[in-house]
Amino acid sequence: MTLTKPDAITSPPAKPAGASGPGRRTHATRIAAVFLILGVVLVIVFVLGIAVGSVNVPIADVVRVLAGGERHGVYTTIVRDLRLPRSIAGVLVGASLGVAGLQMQTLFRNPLADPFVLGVSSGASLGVALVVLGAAQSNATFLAGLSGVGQIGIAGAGVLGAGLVMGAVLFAARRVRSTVTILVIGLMVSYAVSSFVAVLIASADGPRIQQFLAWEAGSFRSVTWDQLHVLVPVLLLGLVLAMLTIKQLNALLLGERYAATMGVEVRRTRFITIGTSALLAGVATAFCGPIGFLGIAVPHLARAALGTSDHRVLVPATVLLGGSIALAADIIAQLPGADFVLPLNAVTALIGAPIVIWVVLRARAAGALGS
Amino acid sequence: MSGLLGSTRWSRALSRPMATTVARACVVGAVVVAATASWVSTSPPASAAVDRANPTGCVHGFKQGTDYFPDKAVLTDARNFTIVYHNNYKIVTVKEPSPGGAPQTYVLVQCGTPTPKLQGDLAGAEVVQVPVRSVFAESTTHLPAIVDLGEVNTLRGVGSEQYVVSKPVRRLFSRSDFVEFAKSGDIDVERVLGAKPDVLLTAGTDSPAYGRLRDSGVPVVAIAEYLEATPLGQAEWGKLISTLFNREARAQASFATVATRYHQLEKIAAGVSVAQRPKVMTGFVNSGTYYDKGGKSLTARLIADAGGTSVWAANTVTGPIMIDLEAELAQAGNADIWIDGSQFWTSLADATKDEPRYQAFRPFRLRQLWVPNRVKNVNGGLDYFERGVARPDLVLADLIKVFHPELARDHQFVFYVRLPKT
Repeated sequence: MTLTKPDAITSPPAKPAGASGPGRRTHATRIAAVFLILGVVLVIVFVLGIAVGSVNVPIADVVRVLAGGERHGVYTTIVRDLRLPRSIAGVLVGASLGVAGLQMQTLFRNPLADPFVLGVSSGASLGVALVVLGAAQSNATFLAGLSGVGQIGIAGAGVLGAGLVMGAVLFAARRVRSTVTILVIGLMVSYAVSSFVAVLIASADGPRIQQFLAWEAGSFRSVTWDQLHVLVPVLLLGLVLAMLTIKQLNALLLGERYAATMGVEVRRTRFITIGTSALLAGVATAFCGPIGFLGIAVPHLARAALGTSDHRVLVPATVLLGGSIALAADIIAQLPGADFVLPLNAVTALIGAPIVIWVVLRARAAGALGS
Repeated sequence: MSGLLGSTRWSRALSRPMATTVARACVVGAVVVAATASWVSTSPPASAAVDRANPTGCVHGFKQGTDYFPDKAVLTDARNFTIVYHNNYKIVTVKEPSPGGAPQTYVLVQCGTPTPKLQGDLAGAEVVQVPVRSVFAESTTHLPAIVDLGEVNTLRGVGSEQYVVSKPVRRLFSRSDFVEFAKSGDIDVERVLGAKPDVLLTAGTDSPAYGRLRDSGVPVVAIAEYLEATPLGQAEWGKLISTLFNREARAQASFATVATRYHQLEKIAAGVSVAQRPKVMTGFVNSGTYYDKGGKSLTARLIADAGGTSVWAANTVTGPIMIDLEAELAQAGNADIWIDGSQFWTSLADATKDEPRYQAFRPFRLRQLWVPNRVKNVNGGLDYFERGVARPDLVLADLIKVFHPELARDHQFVFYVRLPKT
């Protein structure tokens, strides 16, 4: 990871709140337009998420199921129990990973930071690996009771693993003055925890490795209504917490010292930001696997679309954009009519990476021309 | 339909052990063996030496023109390997030793006789002196063949001990010179070289370790039975293993018994009308992706031979297929029977803990979910994965009983269990 600081992130909001005149009006119009488009796109993607899948369910039947007109049958299961939870999870998880990534990029003033830099995803992986792979160890009888805990058990272990790593990093965050030191500690914890997962994989058998790799490929399709009962409130809580720290995040863009002079309690902000980000990323990962790319890319796309780093608009835009992109990727992962499923992580990165490169280069070019 | 079969015929057709009295040199289609009273149900295979004319060890005083291998293996079902006999050596060629791998040729030379010149087709071939006296087996699927050939004492190492079910093999583990050579999945080259077995049998995949072993003088023979298209083709790889021990006579007899039973059972199931054939789904879901078997897979073949119809029968994939859960639901939601769910399930409750939406599948609601985990070792290793390959007749018998219980009243399940509710 390089520690370069492109101006897109470290510069203060492009248009300060106090600016006036025609420039401000154009900018306000642009922001309103962007939000309108993002909102419409999210609605369209959500509708597609329910209407489109590998099975061709006629729209009339989709509507009938949603209206509660049909209580049994294959279409009901597909629409109500498969597509609906998948779409809700996709939107929420995408929004959460986007926001968590944005928080990390701002906190560490690093464009390459993502929700996983502090090791929460590795922590979740370890929790899941212990349950899925560890049960295979004949001599690890203390783990034997963990086998057969089912999907909720796997997600629970993921949350626990992410939580432990988050606790360690938060502990460090309270003790350590330097933000960069926290980043390094997080990365080291991440490596150490990942190596433990590698050890577990090395000694596990085929079916269990397959199960673990399937989780690691990322998916919203495994999410059930029961899981949403946990996933939705927790992620909404995390998103609300993120909204509450918008002012402090804006101040942090100017540097910690400057933020402090503006009356921001830097350590407390850091603590809350790391905690929120870890909560969002850890829980999302535990339920849906370590979905890469969204956390790093969505904030960049949102910044490029809005032309500002002001978190008051950036956070809600990241929520809308993250939700749309995540769910769209999952729809693409199961191409209608195809007899196979692509790993979600492959779709997000393969399709998303070129788009981000294009957007970032274009934003740079436009910026250079404009200034 | 129940009158289709006398109960004696069934119990005979389905009883487990191999032929005990066997004809010596078997020729093509020598399935005569199986017909009547030649198999006794529980006794182990006949002791060594009585049933072979091939040399049991090294020979002395090589005589040109002598056929050293009067017992010859003749293939009927396997397509992925060939055996050609010469007076004092046999040429075994594995066409696809690992998925997509180039063919490999092995020259099995009778110990005490000269090695042929390795030129022309034999250039680059690997030489193995037979009969081998020490064997390393990477896959558990090799073990039943080695045990049935009466050669379990030549087994000096296995890839991983964890999933071995065979009791005679497990008894070897306490021996101080017994080697577990791929415990982590990767072959420990040093351990193999330390023991220097006469031959190492692969699990049908490729590994850089094989090249190093060959360079160091340990012959490596590929066993890629799982790339066969038919269950009997898979089982016939026991004959390849037998060539290493000069045990062709016994392998011919064993396979003939298995094949005869398989064909008998197949014929019985073939009598089932299309309307009475259950629609059969297989597999399980992992993180939202469903794993079923393609329409041209071995499992689909077994389902068809047992008088069922695979829900993916029209599909052309030969291996597993990975699909969306909703696609499986659309295809299999109204199936009649579900086999080969996760090997870790012991009840329907286990299945719904993994994925509550399994309840949308009709076989689940009918409690027609069957898993081949009846016999397993302490670590969860399944006998089905070990012995099922060598004994497709037993697998087929189980499946017929699952699909058409009235056709197999006297058969006792060997591998499959119907999952209870909790």
